[in-house]
Amino acid sequence: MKSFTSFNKRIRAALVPVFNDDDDGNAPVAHLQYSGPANQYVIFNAGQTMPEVFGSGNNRVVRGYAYIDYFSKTDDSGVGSKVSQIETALNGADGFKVTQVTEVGRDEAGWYHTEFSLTVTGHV
Amino acid sequence: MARGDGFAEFNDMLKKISLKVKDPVVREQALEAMAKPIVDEAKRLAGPGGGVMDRPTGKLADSIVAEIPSDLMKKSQIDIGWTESGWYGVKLEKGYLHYAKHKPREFIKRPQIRPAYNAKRSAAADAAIKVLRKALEPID
Repeated sequence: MKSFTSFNKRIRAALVPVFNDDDDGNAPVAHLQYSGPANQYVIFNAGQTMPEVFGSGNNRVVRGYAYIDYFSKTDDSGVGSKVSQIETALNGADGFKVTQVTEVGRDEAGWYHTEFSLTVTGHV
Repeated sequence: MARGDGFAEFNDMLKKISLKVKDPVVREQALEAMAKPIVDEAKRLAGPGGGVMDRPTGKLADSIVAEIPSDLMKKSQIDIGWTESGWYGVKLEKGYLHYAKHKPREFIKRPQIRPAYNAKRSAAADAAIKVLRKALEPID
């Protein structure tokens, strides 16, 4: 009997419309690792899932804690920027709630990094 | 029954409860009790067999601690983090791009403290309630 549900598909579905395809023809939305050519991309990780509602010997609703890491070669933190578009897209998805947005910084190669923490709930 | 019957005793009891909850020693004990299950879980995750680190040595797990800020105005707060020997813990928690010669850049992210908090926050609240209940016992 199924006890948990994967959130990866839902996270990807929420984020893909925010991005144009990269030069390889793929949406720059990747699970754990991205190795394409895009100058703006997101990596998602829904690593932790826990029962929220339990009934009749099985999990009914599960809650996931996910991280979305956005990387860009330009500073995309202003009003109407990609960062706010990502936040809007995530909060607009059913069962999603962004709990924190953190500007992690800019590394030596010039990549800006912003982290979104979110909770995702779903029926099993 | 007159309004005053038992009210003074009840009021007195509330005052005692308030004093106990404000007591810095009780507060510190409650905060430490809250932090313990989270710290233990974070250490487990970061340590050998925790599944978070690729090659866990236990050094990062050992560096995870809880600390009450010395600022007296923040007596209702306890911080959980890494000591100096675990300086790289914050990098792993938030993630970073790793560059190596002749290899594509790699994103490395190994959160330990936030998953521990998510998993153990109910246990943390229960632990604090247990301490406060014990402190209030003589008032019951």
